[in-house]
Amino acid sequence: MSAELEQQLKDAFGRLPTPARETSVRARSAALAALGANGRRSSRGLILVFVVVAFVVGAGAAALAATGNLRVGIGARQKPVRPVPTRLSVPPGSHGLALVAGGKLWLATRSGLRIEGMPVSAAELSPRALYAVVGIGSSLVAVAPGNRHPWVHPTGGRVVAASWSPDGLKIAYVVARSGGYELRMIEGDGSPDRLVARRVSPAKPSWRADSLAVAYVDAGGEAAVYDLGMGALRTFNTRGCGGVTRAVAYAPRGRRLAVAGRSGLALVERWDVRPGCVGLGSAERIDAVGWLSPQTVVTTDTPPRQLGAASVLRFYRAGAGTLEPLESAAVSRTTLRGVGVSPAGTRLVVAHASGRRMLELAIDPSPAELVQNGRLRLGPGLFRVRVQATQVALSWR
Amino acid sequence: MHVRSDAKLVQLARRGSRDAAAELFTRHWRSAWRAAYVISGRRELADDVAQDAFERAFAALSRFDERRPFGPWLHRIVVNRCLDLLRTERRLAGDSELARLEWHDIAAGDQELLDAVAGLSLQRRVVVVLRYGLGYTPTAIADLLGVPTGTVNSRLARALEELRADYEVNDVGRA
Repeated sequence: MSAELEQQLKDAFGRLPTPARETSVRARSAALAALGANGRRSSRGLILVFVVVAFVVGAGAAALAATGNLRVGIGARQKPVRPVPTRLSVPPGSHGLALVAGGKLWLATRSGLRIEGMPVSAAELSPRALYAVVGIGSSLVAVAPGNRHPWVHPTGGRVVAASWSPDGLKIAYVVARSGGYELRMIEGDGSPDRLVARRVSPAKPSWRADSLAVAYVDAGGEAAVYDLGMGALRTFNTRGCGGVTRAVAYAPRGRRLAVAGRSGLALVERWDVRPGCVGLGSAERIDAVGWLSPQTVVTTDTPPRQLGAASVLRFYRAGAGTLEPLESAAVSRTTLRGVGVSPAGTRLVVAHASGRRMLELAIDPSPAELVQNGRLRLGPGLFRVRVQATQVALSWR
Repeated sequence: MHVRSDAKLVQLARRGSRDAAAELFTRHWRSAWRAAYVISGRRELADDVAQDAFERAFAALSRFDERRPFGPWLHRIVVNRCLDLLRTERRLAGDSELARLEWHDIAAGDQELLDAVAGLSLQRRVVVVLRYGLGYTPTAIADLLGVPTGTVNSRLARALEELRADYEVNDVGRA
């Protein structure tokens, strides 16, 4: 029986599937890139030798100075540069922060939940960061500190975005199913699950402040809203303002919805009122949209290459049905991969590329100091990680 | 055609030869992926772990002891990374819940047996897949996991006993 079982195990393992071709190609390229870093390290041997020689000479000079045979003048002491932490910490005054980059999750909460580099397809913190919901394989999994594990919900596809309602009672999520994407909704306790819209885009849904409506982008690139109170879906056309919708964001208070097109931003105040609109140059491309306060919309965009900037952060004042660009656009020399807003809606956390395959998180020093002479100014780095990611999702609670 | 040994390829890769590194990758990618897949039971996780293991291995090639074989060293990285991730997941979401996510794309006839393997504790499951999935001897597994050979043998024996009991119960159910 034992030999038979052993043979059955060998046969069963022998019939397991093989890696997909595109996975193999991606892994090969990443592995060879890592070898490059190794090679460079070897070539750094000469630099190391130079440093050792410099150290010996310096030590000799110090010895001579000590005996009085050499006078050494020492200038003003330089402030040491603080290395950027490689362990994510919770920013002061908040409950938790989650970062999804390159299909991996880094998360830290005040309640003691910590995840480092776990493969996920999406993640979102609950409003006070007591729980996190993550897409793992073909399931939506709610996780909590310690041994509390609220639920695992099979979704039948990969969850690409999730958004927790402000009252903490519902989660809207987008799942890849049957060749397209569906918007579904699940209660915060894991049941029941229901379909909201069958054909949507993989953009992150956004909840209205009263948790009674959720905005999303439909498969045709139109902004749409599902009203839970009325049980009705509404789609509206803002294509005249910047083209196909890329992202939507409800204001932290009230009912105003910012709709980012490819190169324009619309503000929807009411259904029966024409939305306010601001267009960018045709060469610019809006990457993300959010609200810095109930009156200020912030976007990141990629400008034309010849401008010498990797990304631009722009601010717009949201008036009564109107949008007005503010003067204080901030140019960033590094590419902004993602932007998150603090729970109070007053601070920004920025994920930016800080070297080859490195990603760094930083928070603005203060809202007033974020832009200086047209340049983006960030506080000390909050977290640094080696990961290849073109888009980063941030959840700050 | 002359086939270069792993040791020779490692030597060349350390000197910066991308061709040698690519050959190493081609030679070991499938087995590394398989190791990650049989331990985790999930494609997405296997993709990630196997890629990560290669990146780590290639980045640390200058510190690799050339007298040792490359394959087991790579598998050790795969196994450890897999276990780290699975333990983190289990701590957060629980054993039984996550077991439901695993082994979705396997041949129908193997489902029952592999479900039973998925139900083993991580320690037992790892020795089973290293032994029967990747063909390592108990001594090699002990070396790879950094535990005594006796521990490997006892984990294997208990795992087989558990699987057999599970299988027999199912046989009775089928009868």
